[in-house]
Amino acid sequence: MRDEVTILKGRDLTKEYVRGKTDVVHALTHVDITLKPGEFVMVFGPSGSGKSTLLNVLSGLDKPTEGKVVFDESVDIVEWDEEQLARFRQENVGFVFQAWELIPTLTAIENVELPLYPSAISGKDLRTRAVGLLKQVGLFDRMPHFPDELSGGEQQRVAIARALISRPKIVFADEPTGNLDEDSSAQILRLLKRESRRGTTVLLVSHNDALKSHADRVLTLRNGQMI
Amino acid sequence: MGSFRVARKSVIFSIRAKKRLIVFVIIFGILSGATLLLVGTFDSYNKENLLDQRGVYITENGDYNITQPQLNNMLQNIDNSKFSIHTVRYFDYSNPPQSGMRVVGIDHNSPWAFSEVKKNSIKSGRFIDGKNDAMISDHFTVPLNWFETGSNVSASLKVGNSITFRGTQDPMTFKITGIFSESARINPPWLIVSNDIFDDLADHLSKDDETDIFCFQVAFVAKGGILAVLIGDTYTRVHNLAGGLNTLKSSPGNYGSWSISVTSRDEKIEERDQDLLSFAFGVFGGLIVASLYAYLITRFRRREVAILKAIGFNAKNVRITLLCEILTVAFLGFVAATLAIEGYTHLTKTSTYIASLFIMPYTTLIISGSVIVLTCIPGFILISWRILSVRPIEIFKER
Repeated sequence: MRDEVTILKGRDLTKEYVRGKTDVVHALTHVDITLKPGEFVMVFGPSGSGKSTLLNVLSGLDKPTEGKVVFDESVDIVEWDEEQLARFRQENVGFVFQAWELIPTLTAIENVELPLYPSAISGKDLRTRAVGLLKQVGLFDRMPHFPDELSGGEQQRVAIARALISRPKIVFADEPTGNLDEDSSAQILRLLKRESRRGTTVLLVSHNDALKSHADRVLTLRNGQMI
Repeated sequence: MGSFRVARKSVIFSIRAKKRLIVFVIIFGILSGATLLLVGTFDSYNKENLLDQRGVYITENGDYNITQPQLNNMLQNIDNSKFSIHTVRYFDYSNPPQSGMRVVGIDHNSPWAFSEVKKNSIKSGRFIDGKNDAMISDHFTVPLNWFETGSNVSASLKVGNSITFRGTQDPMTFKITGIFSESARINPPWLIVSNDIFDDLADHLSKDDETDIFCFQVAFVAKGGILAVLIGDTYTRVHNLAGGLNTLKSSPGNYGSWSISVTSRDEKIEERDQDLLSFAFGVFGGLIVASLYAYLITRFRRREVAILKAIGFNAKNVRITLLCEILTVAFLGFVAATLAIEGYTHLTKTSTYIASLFIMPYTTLIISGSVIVLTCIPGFILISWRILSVRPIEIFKER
């Protein structure tokens, strides 16, 4: 049953940028991708192959020039406006960026809570959930610290906790270990893998060959095309 | 609930960005201070500056030159619907100027109306604020156990003491709330009470309207709000009134002998226009500062906003976040300016001028605060336009 259902499907995705006045860059060319619930999928490819563009298009951060992104087998999010996409991201998507993208004036726990500030969840429940996540990522004792007081690995773990706070159906991770040492990278991958086993779909993009072994499925992208 | 939490957290988070906060609180504080002073200038068109901007007053030429009947005759010629009238009357108690005192009745709600005793002429204590309050002139000395036609007066000369008039009726007691500086005209010593009680006290001491009660000054103030000043209507009315009073002056037997004080129409208009110009420049400066701040926010917080949008904040929540930051900075600047002005006034003025904790009227504070908030609007629109119109991916790609 699990194999038949898809959580997100990209169909015939094409993304073109105009660089300068006439130079057209084909970031993605007719890419198809299907993500199933609980899958840990890695998109592998060298720099400039279109990995991040694919991730941005699938997550609704960017619009494809052509193609569809069907969520839950029902709606094409490409047709949605910014308000609908914002709600989609808040309720269904978690992001882990290469550069962590934490807010510097917020403590670790506030950064984790941040995505749900606009929601109706009570402050007490939100705090309980955030504390639980920080415990899971091993940062319970670092809760009151600001990002610049944390190591790179710790910041990335905070970012993972933030991505999971809304209990998303899909986590998008864009080179999450790109700025980390080996130990920290292994820790981050273990966390993402654990989350995948719990039923969350994880789409990780990276150029790091060593990460392939952690994924359930590896897709290779080169020059904007899936090979 | 979610929006409220976003607003609350935004206020907290904006305070955490200390360097930016301090710099802009200082800038908004300077802006707020200027706005408070400018708005205060206009607010005083309804108070201290009334006589200059929209009034005329007459003062007796010498002792006993305007009697109560003469005053009544004169007031019959004034249109009550166009002018508010503030009289200063007096009667002498005992036998001045050799001894005794002069009891003066003023309109305590209009302390600006009497040129001799304004709030800023109080040396200690405070201005009278009701029926049972009294002020005395400096060096006020009245012997204790002093008798006159069956009455006796017991007086003490410090703020907080009481002075009691005992007659055939129930004694009338006044609490001395303030001591004011003497002017050349204050001889014998003055005891100033409210007009609300002046006639009762005169009756209590058997003073005769025709022969014992005199008028020291009358202030006529053109009615109407600040709009009446701005369109110049008050100037026309005051100009006409001054002409009419000059006519009455030619019959001193019926109306008494007095001199007229009125600022010329041209001077009033010039002063008003200068105030208006200053105000316009102040608001313009405010718009510039607030817009500058907004522009800097669009630079400093551009990436943060992109993160917020990426993790699911919609446009409304991002607007709340940014608006709260601007308003927090503006509010803190306004509070800082208000406290600075209040503090400066408390340190430099006499204690009495400061009858209440806050010297600036609430209207000035409310109007000034509103002006500061209004100056933030163009900046907020700029932020909305510059940040919200950009999709987060475009901001991420800028790195």
